[in-house]
Amino acid sequence: MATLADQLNDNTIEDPGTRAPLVLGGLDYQGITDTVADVAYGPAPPKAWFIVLGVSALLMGILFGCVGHLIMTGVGVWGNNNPVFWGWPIVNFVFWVGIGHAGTLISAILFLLRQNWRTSINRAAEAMTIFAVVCAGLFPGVHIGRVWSFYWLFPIPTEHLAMWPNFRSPLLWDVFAVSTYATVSLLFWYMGMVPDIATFRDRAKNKIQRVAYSVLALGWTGSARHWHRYEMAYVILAALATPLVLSVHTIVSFDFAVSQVPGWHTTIFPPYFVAGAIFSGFAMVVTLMVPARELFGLKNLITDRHLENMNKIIMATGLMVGCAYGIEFFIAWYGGNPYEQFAFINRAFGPYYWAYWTMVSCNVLVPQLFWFKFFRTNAFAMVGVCIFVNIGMWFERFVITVTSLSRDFLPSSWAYFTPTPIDIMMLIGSFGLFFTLFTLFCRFLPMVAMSEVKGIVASEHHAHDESEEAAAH
Amino acid sequence: MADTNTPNENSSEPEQHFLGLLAEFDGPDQLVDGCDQARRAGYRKMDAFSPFPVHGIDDAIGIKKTKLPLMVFGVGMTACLIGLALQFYTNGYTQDSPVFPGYPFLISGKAMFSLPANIPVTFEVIVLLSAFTAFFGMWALNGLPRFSNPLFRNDNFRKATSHGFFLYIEKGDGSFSESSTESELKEWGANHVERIAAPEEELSVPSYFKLTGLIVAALVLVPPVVIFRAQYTKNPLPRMHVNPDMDRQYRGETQDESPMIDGKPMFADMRVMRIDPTGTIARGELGKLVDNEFFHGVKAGSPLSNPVALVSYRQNSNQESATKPTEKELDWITEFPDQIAAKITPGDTGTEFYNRGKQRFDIYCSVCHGYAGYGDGHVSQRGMALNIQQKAEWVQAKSLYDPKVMANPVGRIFDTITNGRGAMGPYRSQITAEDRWAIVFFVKSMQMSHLGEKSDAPDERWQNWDQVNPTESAGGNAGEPTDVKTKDGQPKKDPSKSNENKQANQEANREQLVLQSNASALKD
Repeated sequence: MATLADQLNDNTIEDPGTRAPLVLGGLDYQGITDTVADVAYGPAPPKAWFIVLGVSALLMGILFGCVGHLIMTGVGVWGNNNPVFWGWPIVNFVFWVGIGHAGTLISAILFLLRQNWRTSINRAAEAMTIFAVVCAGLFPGVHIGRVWSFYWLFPIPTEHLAMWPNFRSPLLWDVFAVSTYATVSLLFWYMGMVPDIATFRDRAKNKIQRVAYSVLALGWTGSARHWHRYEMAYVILAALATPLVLSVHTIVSFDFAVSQVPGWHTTIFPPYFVAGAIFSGFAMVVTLMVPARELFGLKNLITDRHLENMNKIIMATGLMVGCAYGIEFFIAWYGGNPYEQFAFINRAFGPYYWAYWTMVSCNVLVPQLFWFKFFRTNAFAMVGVCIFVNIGMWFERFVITVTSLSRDFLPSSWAYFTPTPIDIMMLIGSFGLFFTLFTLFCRFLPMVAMSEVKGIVASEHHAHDESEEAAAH
Repeated sequence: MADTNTPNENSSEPEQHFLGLLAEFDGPDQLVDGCDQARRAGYRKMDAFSPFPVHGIDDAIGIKKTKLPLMVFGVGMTACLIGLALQFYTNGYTQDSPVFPGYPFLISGKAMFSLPANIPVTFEVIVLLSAFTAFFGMWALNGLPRFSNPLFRNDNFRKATSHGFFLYIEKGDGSFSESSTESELKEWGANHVERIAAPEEELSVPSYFKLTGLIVAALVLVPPVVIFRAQYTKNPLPRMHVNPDMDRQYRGETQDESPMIDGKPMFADMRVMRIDPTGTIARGELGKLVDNEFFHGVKAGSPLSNPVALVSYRQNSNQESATKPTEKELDWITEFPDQIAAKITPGDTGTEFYNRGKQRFDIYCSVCHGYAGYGDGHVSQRGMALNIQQKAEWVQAKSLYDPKVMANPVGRIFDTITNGRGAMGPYRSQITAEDRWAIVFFVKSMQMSHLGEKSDAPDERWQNWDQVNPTESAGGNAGEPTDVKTKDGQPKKDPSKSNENKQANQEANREQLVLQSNASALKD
């Protein structure tokens, strides 16, 4: 039987009698502060941080170069052409929006479900959400062609345009959903971070740090009255973000499902997209957390148990996604619609068979490794699986978008989609943007929600004391 | 209070303006305990500070439940109305409005305002405005941001965001006494009590801040002023574009030289205007160049039928107004033109050309004239039914066995199809000239079948066909048989004398038999 001492070293051991600790190394409140604040105030960050930042910034430069080229030349620099007018840009958009969903799921849904283990990872996951939404918003943002007229997307009264957006178009719903999602995520993330920025402010070593963190901390003192309203606002935002996150990918799936293209016009899309989004998002969180906790010495806070829990969610959502793949084929057969049947047979055995089977292998077969504890707890193994999952999820969006469009209702326009180098560079560049923002976040902002972790530690002590008292009586 | 000669005080000096006492406790439980006792002792103007929300502190200090949820609920409900109103006004409100009128999108004839399609945006508006209320409302109720706080002057207080637990009691509290409160706090578990003071003089904003602020405010005003001015002045210059590539296009004026693209002319011959490809015929010139017989159904050299607009200008109205009073008869051809005659095997109704004509007839003509040509197509039937209810003034489609129609030469039938006649619209844009001739051939074949006798039929089954359909009597439509000749001059005036024509009649009869006895549409 596992003892508490065992669990202090390895909190992945399951013992029904005791609750596994969420913070290892016996860290007290100050210890937690020191661990997290050392990332920003400790010695210069490890070399790996500079390497990652340098490479990412380079890729980000390529992305912005491509965007500039696109704006000056036109969207013809992409491979989008008849009949695949929605090529990589929308694939990348859906991919990045999906990545973002894990952050909100961890911060809002797991909060409402009182999953205390979320506290160590929610901050970084929320940051990941923001950065992923930035990457996602970029693609539809530049694909409108005349970027400087972007405000036409919104219902702004203008006399020279003399018209309004069509509120029955899923593309307009998308504008509202993604912009609301980005805004609410940002508010949620920033609000959660204010007490921790105040911690950074109070440990500032030079004037620049003090001024910057003071402004961001808004004069937070930790007053009990403030905490009272803060917690209420946090619950409300979590309650608002929960249906919001489900609605966002639902509406993204409406971009496809409300159209009448075979392979898109299906009612399974909303749940299927949401499950896929959580699946890919968690894979990205694991991919980011494993090296980050290694580099910045956060292993006592982001423990193996946290990673294992996330891997279990990845496996569960992976099974949901696999189930959806199967159901799609079943409905195509059972629905008896010959166009639908053709679309799905074409998906698996048509010219894009390689993409389809890449998707199935990466999303359905590879996550099955998480049935084994070794893969759930070994850093290299889990990152490997998660990278496969992300590749697979990108291919899922590619398969959905391109296979259906390339075989539309008019056989004379059937064509094979080929991306241009700009397409490829923009996809790689978007990863550069994402990792640049994330590396900067790790260094300069509180990567772990210190106040929340301390609250969990306090309640654990409380529960422990009470159980001891109960045992004594 | 009068002593003002210490503008730069430092914390080691005696305080100028005593505010309250700050007591530090060992942990969250001790803090709750201390607060509880302070409240019991009658203290009200106090606050606790901790690095995380401490369980039970609200009751210990006596914090009332915040109104924030009610605010969010109210705003959420309002946002629902705002979202719906926004969509109703912009898309669903079809009345003209003086400012920023709505822009109704009529899509597939659906309702202008349909709630299910408006749910997503309404939902997002609710979430967005509620989240704003929760976020900004929380800061507003907390009185934040507040950057100048006397507590920040205390170095020890910095622990409050890391691992320190503090209770602060204000001097202004009714139960506060400078002598006893400090000892009371120590009694309740505080391990350390400090006095908090503010500088006597109000902190003032540096003067350069004000100057910078003024300059920034002035600069911020510039864009709105420029926009406002642009809104109410006229400028003859073209609109400026961020990316003006579409303003400069490779385009040449009439009679101009070819534009150069990267130093090379767009057209090698340096002409902007292109030369017509060889053999191009100008629109409307076709009839002058090609044979009138094939394209117009009149003899060479004859004046042409008046060209009619592609869509009939004639409203389908009552017979009087629909009939053109001055119908001038042209020099119609009575035989098929050469190109068509070559395709016709005399007497054979089973040819490809015959089948083509029948198929085109079924598609374009039968809707009004009926499959068998009696003028009883479905559209015509419906029109007549509406006439009875006085809902329409439909002119019944002509029966093809009307004596007048039977007498028409092929050229005139062709012209009727081409340019329309009476209430019938033109079909020249829908049906090619050759197909129109095929229809003429099929119509003529059907008309000829009416001239046949019962005895022409090969067996008894066909001779008794009128019993299957007693309303129609074979050959009942008296009239001059139309002169149908093939170009090689073989007369077909008396079909009963010609074996081929007999056969043709029988075929046509059989067609009719099938059509009449089988009301459903023919399959081709």
